[in-house]
Amino acid sequence: MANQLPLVALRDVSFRWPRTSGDALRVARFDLAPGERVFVRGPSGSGKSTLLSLVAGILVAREGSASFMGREWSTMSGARRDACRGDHIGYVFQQFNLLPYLSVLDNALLACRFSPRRAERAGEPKREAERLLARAGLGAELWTRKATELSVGQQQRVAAVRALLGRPELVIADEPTSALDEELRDAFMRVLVDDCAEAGSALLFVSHDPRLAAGFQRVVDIRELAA
Amino acid sequence: MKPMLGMAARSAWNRRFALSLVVISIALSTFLLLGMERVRKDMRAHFSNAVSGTDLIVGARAGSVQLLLYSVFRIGAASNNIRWASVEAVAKHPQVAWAVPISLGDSHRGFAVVATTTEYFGRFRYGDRQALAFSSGQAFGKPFEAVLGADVAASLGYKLGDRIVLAHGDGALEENDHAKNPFTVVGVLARTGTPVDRSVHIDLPSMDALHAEAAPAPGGPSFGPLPPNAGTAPAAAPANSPPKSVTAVLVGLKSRAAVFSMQRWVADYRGEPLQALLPGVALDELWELVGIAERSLLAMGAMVFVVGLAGMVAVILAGLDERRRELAILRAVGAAPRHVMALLALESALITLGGVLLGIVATYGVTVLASGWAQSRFGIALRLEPPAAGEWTVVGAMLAAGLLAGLLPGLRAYRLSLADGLSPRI
Repeated sequence: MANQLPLVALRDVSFRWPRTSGDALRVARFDLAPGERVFVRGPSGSGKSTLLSLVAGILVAREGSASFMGREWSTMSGARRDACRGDHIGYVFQQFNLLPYLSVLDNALLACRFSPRRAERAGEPKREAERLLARAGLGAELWTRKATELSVGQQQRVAAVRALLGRPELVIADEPTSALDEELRDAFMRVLVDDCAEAGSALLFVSHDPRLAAGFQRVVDIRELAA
Repeated sequence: MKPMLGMAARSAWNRRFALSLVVISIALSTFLLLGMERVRKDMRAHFSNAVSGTDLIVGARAGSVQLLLYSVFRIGAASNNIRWASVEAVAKHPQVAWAVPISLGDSHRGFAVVATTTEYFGRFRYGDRQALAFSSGQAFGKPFEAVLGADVAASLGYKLGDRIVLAHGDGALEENDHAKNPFTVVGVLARTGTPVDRSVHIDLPSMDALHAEAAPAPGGPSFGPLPPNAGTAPAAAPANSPPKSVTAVLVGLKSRAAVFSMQRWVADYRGEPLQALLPGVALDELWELVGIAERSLLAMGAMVFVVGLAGMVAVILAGLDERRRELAILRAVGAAPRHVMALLALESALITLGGVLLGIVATYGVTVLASGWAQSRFGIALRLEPPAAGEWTVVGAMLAAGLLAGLLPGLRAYRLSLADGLSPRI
C-alpha cells in the first residue's frame, strides 16, 4: 500500500457494556489499510458486532484509542460521528437491511440522502445506483418494487449496492451471508468483493464461516486480537 | 431534516391502515371544534342581524332575554301581554319617534303569526339598518289580509291571492284551526335572513277576531251550540276598535341619547309592570348564557382531540418496537439520533395535519349539505366562507399540539436509537 496511514486503527481498546462486569471486547492492535480487504473470523458471541460498532464509531471505547481516517472517534461529537459514518462508511447487516416502505432504488440511494459527499462522489447517484443494481443482477423491473417484495438474496445485494454507492472509504459487512444458501452466497460475495475493488473501498468482513475467506488479503481471528 | 419529511410520509403511508383510524379520530374532533365555531359564529350573526334600528322593546316584566327571544325570534315561552292603554302611553311619550305594537301567539303550519300595524313594514330594520321590502304585493290594508315572509311563501308555495287558514295556539290541534276565517295573501316580503322570513303578518283587529272566535267572550253563551252566524267571515269582520292587549311594542326614539331615561320611564310606569329592553344589551345577556354551553362544548371538543392525540401517540409507540431495525438501518447510513427523532415527530405532525385537513373538508362538506336544512328549519344561514381568525387559531393550536405530542415517540426513538446503535435488541 502506497498510503501507509491506516484507515482504521485500534490500539489497546477495551469495551464494556453498561451495568456489566467484564469486557465485551479487548483489542490490543488492529489496523486496516485503505482499500484492504480483511476477513474477521469468530464464533457467535465473540464480540464481532462490538468490534464493528467500535470501528464504525457507533460505540466509543472507554479505554484505548479507536481512530478512523486518522481521527479519534472519541474526540468527535455524536453528530460529527454520525455524519462521518454516513460520509465514509457503508454498512451491510446480517439481514433486514432495507426500509420496508421505500422502493429498491430509494433504499440503494439511502446513504446519499444523508451524505452530500456520498451523493457527490456517486456522480449522478440515481444513474450510478441503477448501474450497480443492474450489475448485481437486479433488473430494471425490480427497481420500483417495494424492498419487501424481494427475496432475501436480492435484498442483500441491494444492501451491498447501498453500502458501496458513492465509493465510501470503508465497507463493513456483518455476517451478510448467513441467511443465504450456497449459490446466493457466492453471488453475493462476488458482487461485494468486485464492487469494493472497483470503488477502491476497504472491506471489513465478519463471519463465522471460514469458507468465505477466499477473496480476502488477510484473515484475522477475533480471539487473537486481544493478545 | 428535509430528507426525513418524505421518509416520514412514506413510512406513515406504509402503516396507513393502523394510522387511518387515528386520522379519522383527529378529523372528527377537528370537525367538532370547527363546526361548533362555525355554527356559533353564524348563529350570532343570525341573531345580531335580526333587529336593528329598534331602540327599545317594551313588554311585560319578565327576563329581558325571554322577552327578546319571544318578541324578536319567536322562541321560548310566551311573555304576558300588555294593555293597549300602556301602548298608547308609550307612543305618546315625547321622546318616542315611533311605536309599533306586535301581538304573537298564533301560528300557521309551524310559522309564527305576527299581528301588527302597517307601520311595521316601514319602521322595522334588520341587519345593517336595512328596511323590509316587498318581493310582490303590498302591505295589508284591511282585516283578513296577510303578508308572508319569504320562507313561508317559498316553503308552503303560497302566492298572491291565495287564501290561507290561521290557527290559534301552536296549530298542532286540528280543532284549533279557524277554517271559517281564511286570510288572503296580499304581499310577500323579500328575503331578510331573519325571523321575519318565517312569519305571517296580519293586522291587529284580525288577530282579535281570531281570538274572540276561539274563546267566546265572557257573557256570551258558555254552553250549547254557537249562534249560527258566529264566525262567518263578513259577520266576524272586526270593528276598527283597538285590541285589548299586545305582546310587545317596538320603539324608536327621537334621540338615542334618551334610551336610558326612556327605559327608566317604562320601568316606573304605573299602569302595569312593564320593562323596556335594549336589543343589543339583551343579546349580550343571551350570549353570556349561551357562552357557558359553548365553553363546555368547546372543552368537550378539545378533549376529543386530546383523546385522538393520545391514540396517535399510543399507536406510534406501540409500533416503535417493531421499527427498531429500521432505526438501526438509518443509523448505519449516517442518520443521527436527531434524524430518527425528527422522523417520528414529523410522522405525528403529518398524521395530525392529515386529520385536521380531513376535518376541515368534512366541516365544509357538512356546511354545504346542512345549509338548506338549517335555513329552512331554523332560518340560520350557514355560510361557506374561508376560515376566520378564530378557526385558524383552532387549527393552529391543533397542529401545534400534534407536533408536541409527536415529540413523545420522537424522544423514545431517540433513546432507543442511542441505546441500540446498529444492533437492535428486539
